[in-house]
Amino acid sequence: MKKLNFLSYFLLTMLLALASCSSNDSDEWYEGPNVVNPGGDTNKNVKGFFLLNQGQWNSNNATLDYYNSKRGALYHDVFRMLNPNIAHGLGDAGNAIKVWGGKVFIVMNGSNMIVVLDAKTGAEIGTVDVPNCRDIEFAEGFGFVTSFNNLANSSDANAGALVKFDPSDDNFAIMQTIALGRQPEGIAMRDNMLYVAVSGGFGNPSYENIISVVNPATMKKNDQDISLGNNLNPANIVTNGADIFVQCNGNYFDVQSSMAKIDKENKVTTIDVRCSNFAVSDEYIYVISTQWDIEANKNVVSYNKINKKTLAVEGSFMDTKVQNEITYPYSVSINPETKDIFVTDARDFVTDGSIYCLHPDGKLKWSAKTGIIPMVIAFTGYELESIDLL
Amino acid sequence: MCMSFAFSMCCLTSLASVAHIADNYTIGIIDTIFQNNYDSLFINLNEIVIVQPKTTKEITPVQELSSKDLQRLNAHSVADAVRYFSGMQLKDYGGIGGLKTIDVRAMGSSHVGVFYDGVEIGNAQNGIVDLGRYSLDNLESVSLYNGQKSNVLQSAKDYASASALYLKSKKPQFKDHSNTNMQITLKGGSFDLFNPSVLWSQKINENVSSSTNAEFTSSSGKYKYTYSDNWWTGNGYSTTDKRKNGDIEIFRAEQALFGAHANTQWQSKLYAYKSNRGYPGAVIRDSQNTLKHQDRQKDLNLFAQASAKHSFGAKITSQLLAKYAYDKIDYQADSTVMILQSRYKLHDLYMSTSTMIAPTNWSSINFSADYQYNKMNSDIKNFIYPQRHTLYAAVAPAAYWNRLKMQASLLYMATVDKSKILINNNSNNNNSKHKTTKQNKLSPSFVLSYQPFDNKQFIVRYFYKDVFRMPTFSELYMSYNGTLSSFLKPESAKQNNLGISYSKQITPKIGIETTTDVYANRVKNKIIAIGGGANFRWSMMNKGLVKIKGADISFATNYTPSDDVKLTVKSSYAHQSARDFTPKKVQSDTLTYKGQIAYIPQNSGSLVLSGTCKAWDFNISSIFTGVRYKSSDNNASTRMPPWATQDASASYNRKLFGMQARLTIEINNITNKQYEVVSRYPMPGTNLKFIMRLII
Repeated sequence: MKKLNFLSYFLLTMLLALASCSSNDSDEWYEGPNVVNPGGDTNKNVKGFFLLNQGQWNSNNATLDYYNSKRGALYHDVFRMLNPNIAHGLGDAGNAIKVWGGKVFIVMNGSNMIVVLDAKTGAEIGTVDVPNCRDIEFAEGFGFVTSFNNLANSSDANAGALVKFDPSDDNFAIMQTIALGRQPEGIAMRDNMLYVAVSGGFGNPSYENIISVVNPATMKKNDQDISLGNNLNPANIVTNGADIFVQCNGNYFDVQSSMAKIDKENKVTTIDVRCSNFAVSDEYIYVISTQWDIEANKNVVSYNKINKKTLAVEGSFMDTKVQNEITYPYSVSINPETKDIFVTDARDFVTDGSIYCLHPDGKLKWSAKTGIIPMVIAFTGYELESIDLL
Repeated sequence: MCMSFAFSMCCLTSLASVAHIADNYTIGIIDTIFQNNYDSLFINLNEIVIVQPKTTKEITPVQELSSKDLQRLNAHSVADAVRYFSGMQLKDYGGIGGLKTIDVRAMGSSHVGVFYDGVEIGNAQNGIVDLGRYSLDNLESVSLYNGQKSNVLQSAKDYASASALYLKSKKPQFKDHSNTNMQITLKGGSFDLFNPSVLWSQKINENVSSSTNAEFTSSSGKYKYTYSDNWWTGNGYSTTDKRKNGDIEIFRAEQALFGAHANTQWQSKLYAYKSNRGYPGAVIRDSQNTLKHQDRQKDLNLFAQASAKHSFGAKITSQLLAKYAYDKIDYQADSTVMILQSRYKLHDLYMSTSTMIAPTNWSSINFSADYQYNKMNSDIKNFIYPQRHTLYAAVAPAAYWNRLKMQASLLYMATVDKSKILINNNSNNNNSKHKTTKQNKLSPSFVLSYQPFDNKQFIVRYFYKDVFRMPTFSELYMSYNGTLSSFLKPESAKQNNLGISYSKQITPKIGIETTTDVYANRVKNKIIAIGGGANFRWSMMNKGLVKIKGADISFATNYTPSDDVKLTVKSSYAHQSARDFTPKKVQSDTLTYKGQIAYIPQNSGSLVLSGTCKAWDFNISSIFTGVRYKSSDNNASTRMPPWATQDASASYNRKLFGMQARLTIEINNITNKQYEVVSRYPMPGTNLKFIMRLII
């Protein structure tokens, strides 16, 4: 009889295991909209934003979140919901996103392509294959993408490239590719000229410190690059039409991160502030920085507001209460209409991050969970009409 | 999945009823499966299995697979075999060349020591051993110990890991008047597998014998898989593709000498392994015209080891071990920008001496001291060239009074790490300095087993163990690279285990054996990589705290209706609750707080049904893994679906021109289950293998 007892005990545990596997099967993965700002916002032209979550490298878990201003609601993983049949979803390692001409262009670095969505339906309408693509900008009706790869077959094997494509074409045809310096990153357009940050980011210990200038119509690069002097490893680049602001990452060792301003005459001024991401409004530059402190053995985080005219660093733009909740600030953006400040928190880079929306005075408006590594926000002038289907 | 699981359930229940009906013949317990006459008739393996220690007799929980089990299971390597142990998670990146590591009781792969013939297979680089690299052909047994092996005479390193996997090679056995044994095996099948091997044993004289084993493996590693996003929802994409660049070529050779004299036993081993493999990489969305997944790795592993045991009378026995290992790894990564090549060279020198003194017939004490030196070189820029000296010293008294057995141990571990770190980073002027870090730790353990009743087959056991693991060279490198001065402490694992084991010969034809262990573990100062930032710089921190509670249950029964028919069922089930108690600092940390840690299923189990009928051997096995999560943020998007796979094999044994021949056909993953163990690394569907073995 003892044998039977043991058998029945064993069977029972196995059955329990079986039961626990089937009970989870019906779980819904979609959590529904997260109404973070009941009543919505009052802005007119900015109908909301897309938040690109980078995902972990080589894990194919980049996601796209969408915020609808009118409803004050954040929708998670809208790409997956609106494009369930696209194999492997949005893809791997999102790096940049822009809304242009009724379309959303998402630069997927790990997937080696730009994924193009219809800005109103969220449906994928095509892709542009650009290996190792980094950033995107539009000028004179064309799209421009930086790539770390030597796509222009330069004699320098380490050369990067700038790719011009037609964003209005059904097939998003690539029109021209030119060689740039090592590991080109951000692009900004001022007075119909493209300014490209050439980082040399893979060249440790010799990083670059130049901005290349390219004519978008002819795709001819100016012979003379703009030197940023002691500001090494330029990455993000933003212009308000007059000045250009550049984030320089330094060499992660004894040259700290910094910012540089390039004025109308291409004169470079260094802004002495630690910077890992920034955003520009009419009056201020909002800067966040995370930097490892060797002595304290921890990340030192700073949030600074810089007067655009005087370049004076005016201290934190964020309420300390919010500041204390953020583990690893990753990006900052300014709503051009309401001047609300958005700061994303990558937390541990492994699990879902957070987004904090602040009033212009730095007080918390709302906060919410995002996808893994919330990377960059693109404000949209189109309402995503398909969200009611969700 | 549940369907296929139900299938194995049926097998179990029907067998149970068969077992219930019959009751009149004679046979031993599970571990002595094959009768001698059967062996001589059909198999006549010249390496007769040496009598195994019964699992019920061990003080610490142990699970063991004998060479017979290993032959019967559809196992290509040690990695495939250990899947049948309970409480163990195999991390498998798929294919013959894919990395395969184990994690025991959710404490992390680097807490598992892997010992080959008594000497640990080290990996100072990342602390984990790829079990896919160890062939089963020349193994006598594979055993997994929770806590530590409770031998009275063992090296200090045997006390130094949270759990340990022991691989024991076959000692050659010779028939009368025969001085040579030869075994030739050819395996082939799916993934273009071609795997010939030869095992040659030679008696040199009455005291010394030699065993030489050589093997070549080649496989294209290609297989089809279907990947879907409809695990839970029933809709979503489903796409079929082929795994590419998973090709592998391996050459392995081993030479061992075994010596046995009056009071001395010794053994030596030379080992060489050379491989060239591709890494297919993660399955991600990618454009069709990009060159992708071209990562390749070349390995060269060489080692020489020797051990000797000598008895100085009845009361004193000593053991010496020595090993030198050299590993070279050439890694070529395709970053799509440029081909990045890096080379690593590792040196490992190890020596151990232990002495066991038994002053009375109810007590003994073991003293052991080990020294290890590790060094790693690389051609990557600003490398830290780590070197480590480790001293292990252990004292372990044991006592036996009637039904009570006790063993305690105290391990002292001291390390000195030296590395070269950069003090400035100008391209034309690289300045570096040496940095020395010292650590020392004491690790106690206590093991007890008690027989509460007259029945010798019912045993209660308990163990407590507190053990540390040093940061690996990779962790140190990452830490220096990211943070320069960051200081990593050893990771600590505390274990408490309470278990019972019971075995009984119910009728002459039917025997059962069962064990149940419950445990509570805690991993403190868990080394965690803190990410990345825009620059993908990682820093390592002693941040994590994991609390683990679990149960391992195993049950086995055998049924022998007649002399040449035999049926065995072995099953195991594990429940694991491994929760992330890493302290919360901010509100958003509640996402992961108390979440089940990555890749640890709450429920998992295995079922093996094997039978022998005259010249035929059959085996059906099933493995089940429940829901897991990709991270300790347990939500629907990190959830991974459960899976179960079924494997089957049949072998036919006969005499052929005076030789013993054995022909086997294996069908693995019969139901063509599409599943993944590691996210984005799909596993193979149904695949076949043919094995031909000749014993001369």
